[in-house]
Amino acid sequence: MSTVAGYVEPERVTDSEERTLARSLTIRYIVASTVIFFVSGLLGALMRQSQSDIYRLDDNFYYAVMTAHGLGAFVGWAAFAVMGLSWWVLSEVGFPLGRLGAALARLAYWLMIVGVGGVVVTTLFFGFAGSWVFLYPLPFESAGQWGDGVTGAFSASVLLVGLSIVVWCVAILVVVAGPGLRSPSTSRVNRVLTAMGFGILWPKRFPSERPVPYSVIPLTVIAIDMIIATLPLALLLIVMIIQSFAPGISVDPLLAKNVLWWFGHPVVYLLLFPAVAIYYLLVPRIAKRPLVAGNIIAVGWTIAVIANVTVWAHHMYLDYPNGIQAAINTTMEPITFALTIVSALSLYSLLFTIYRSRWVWTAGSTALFLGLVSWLLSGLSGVINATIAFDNFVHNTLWIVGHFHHMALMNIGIVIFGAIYAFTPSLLGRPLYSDRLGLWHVWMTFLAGTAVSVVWLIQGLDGAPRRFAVLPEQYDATNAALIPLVAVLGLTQLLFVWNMYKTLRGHTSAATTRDILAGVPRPRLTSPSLQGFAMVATLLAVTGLALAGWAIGRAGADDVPDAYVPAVAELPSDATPTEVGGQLFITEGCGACHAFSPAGTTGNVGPSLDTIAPDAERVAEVVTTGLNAMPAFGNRLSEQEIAAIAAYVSEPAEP
Amino acid sequence: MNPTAFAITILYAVVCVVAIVILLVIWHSTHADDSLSDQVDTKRLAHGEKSWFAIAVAALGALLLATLPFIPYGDTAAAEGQQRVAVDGAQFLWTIEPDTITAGTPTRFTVTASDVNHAFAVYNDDNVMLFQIQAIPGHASNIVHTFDEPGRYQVVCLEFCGVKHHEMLSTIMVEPT
Repeated sequence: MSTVAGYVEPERVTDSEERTLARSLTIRYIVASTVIFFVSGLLGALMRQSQSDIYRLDDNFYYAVMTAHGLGAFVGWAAFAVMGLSWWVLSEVGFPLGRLGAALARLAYWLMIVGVGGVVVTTLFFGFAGSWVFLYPLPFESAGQWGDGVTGAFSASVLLVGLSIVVWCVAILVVVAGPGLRSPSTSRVNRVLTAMGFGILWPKRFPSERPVPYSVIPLTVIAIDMIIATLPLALLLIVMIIQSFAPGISVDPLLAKNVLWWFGHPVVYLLLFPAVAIYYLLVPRIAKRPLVAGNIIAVGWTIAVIANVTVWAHHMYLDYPNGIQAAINTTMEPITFALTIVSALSLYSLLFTIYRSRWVWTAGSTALFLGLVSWLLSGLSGVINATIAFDNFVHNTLWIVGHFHHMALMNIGIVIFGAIYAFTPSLLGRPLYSDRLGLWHVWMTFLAGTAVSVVWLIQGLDGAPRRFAVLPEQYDATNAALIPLVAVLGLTQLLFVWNMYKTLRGHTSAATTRDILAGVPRPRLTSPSLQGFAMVATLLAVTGLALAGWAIGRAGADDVPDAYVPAVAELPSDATPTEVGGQLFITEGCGACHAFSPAGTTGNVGPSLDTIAPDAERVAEVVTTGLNAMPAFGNRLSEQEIAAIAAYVSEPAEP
Repeated sequence: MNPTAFAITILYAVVCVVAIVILLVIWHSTHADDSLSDQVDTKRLAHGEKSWFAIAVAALGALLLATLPFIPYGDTAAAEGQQRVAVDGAQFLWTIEPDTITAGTPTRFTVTASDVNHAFAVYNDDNVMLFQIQAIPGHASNIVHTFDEPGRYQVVCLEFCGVKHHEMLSTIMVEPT
């Protein structure tokens, strides 16, 4: 099928059994990942409202929710969904799965389901709250919140997720080097390199009967990289499982951190590269024009396969205990920049394929375009993170949270929805119930999601830390602004559910109505100016909601300057020991671990001082010399100061 | 505002405006007459990718060269005339010795952790972050900072370290010279 612009639709897999196989596998991955999306999304909303102090979660539960949300949304939803969509992309460009490919795809599916299930259970029900990066040795230093057995079970669950990724990679390599490649070469290595696009540069050395479809290249690249990236992490997880019942074993924390990020960076591209495969397939199809790409695209992807596994330390720019780590970090800044070039080239190709094309703005195509918008804008904030001098400030602030939600939700996520909309007719064999509803879903998700990301970017530039269950009061106003935005973002997803429900029920009323009305003159609701107006109006509405939230939060805040550490008033010189002790109790941070109602603290790491009600002598003794996990304060505080704390803490017990 | 955060704000805002203009042009171009789209020479556009490659490499190279002098790894060596402060992070408490220093003289912080990873971040009393560095169990890291203004400075943990991470706070007093 050729058009005026020279677009040739890639030849699909023709065998109907193969098509059915790819179809059912894809649908299975999409349904499961979408369920995980809704669960993780709700967990995200739960954290948002807690930080805005609507219903405050218990601290450890907050961090457990954060752990489940991170792994669930990132791997269980986004990665899992694009992993599934890859099967359909491959089928669309003529790569049959074959028996081995299909068996591995099924195995990867079940490993992921069981792994994510294990993560949800160990976090939400057994309190594992080590965050999704579970920086060693935090999983074994829970401050009494969860046991080593839970850490073992959590590690095993993540190991299953990792195995799912590795199995998926092997399946991808089996399929791309399989008969779909149509290469005469018998060498497996040569076939994989052909699938990586080497034939574009050296057609004689890497021959194939037809040019390798562009979509195959990023899939091959990520399949190679994720095997390299995941195996060391799998080893660390196995050591952690062993340590959970043999406490004598341990790993150097800095080495463990390197291993974690050795996986943690490429896993980001496990989301991006299959999404690029979707772009490479759908953007030319919608634009009815071949992908605007020169030979340099093959150079770009060759850089990617190497650079992707040699940039991990850009997550560790602020770890520099010795010359070696600092040298690794410094080397990885230019390598990260090189990896950026791949995105820059892909964005060029895709955007100029759209430029002045016969692009039709449906729900699916709009989502793809908005995905490109987010890819560009969040890629630029990623360049900031990649620059050591800038990361020096933004590291572990909410800027980072803004950046990766912008990238994962507004680029990858919206492409997942776009692909679901665009593939619906071929996947489900029936048209989408309502494209208009889909457009609303896509636009509202884009606007609210981008606004949420921007609020985080702003909070981060203001120095707000990430992973704080309770942010200091100076962020109350911006936290309040997030509430309406998150509400819009969440409720908008119901449009998607309704649309898919009606589509699956076989309702095509919207589509049928369109057919009936074809040819009947209608007001041009789709004119660019009206669309532009709708876009601006929605943007204003969303901004208005945000400002309203901000104003409400602002009005509710008092005028006292807020701070991380509450400033203490100068005590009069005749202050009683109890008064001095009360102040020291706060400034020394006793309340972080101990609940004590006169001080209004709720720490649950150490024993509650209300319950054990120690006498002054006991307090002085424990504060001076320490006890179990409690550090000694003998060389921090003077004897008078310790006596003052003892007087303050023992006062309720000694009326 | 922290000067680095200010530089990021300006730089990111500028590149975003340029990017949004390009995106709007592309969005608008799809509404052009179909005959225009037939005239587009996609081969020429593909050729332009090489120029774009050169532009992207040059821009990133410029950013690299411009920011390399500001990486924090260089000047952390011990030197004459520094004040020395030992920092140890433990769930959920900072041990800072001494916790009172003088303004105007460089202070060399030697930072480590005794249980899990922490991060030693110092904010001034107006909640502006001045610097941060990771505190790694079993490894010591150094960072040199000169406090110009006397006053109270807040110490915040910036690496997630467990249930009371957000309450792992402390203060440093900087006295006039």
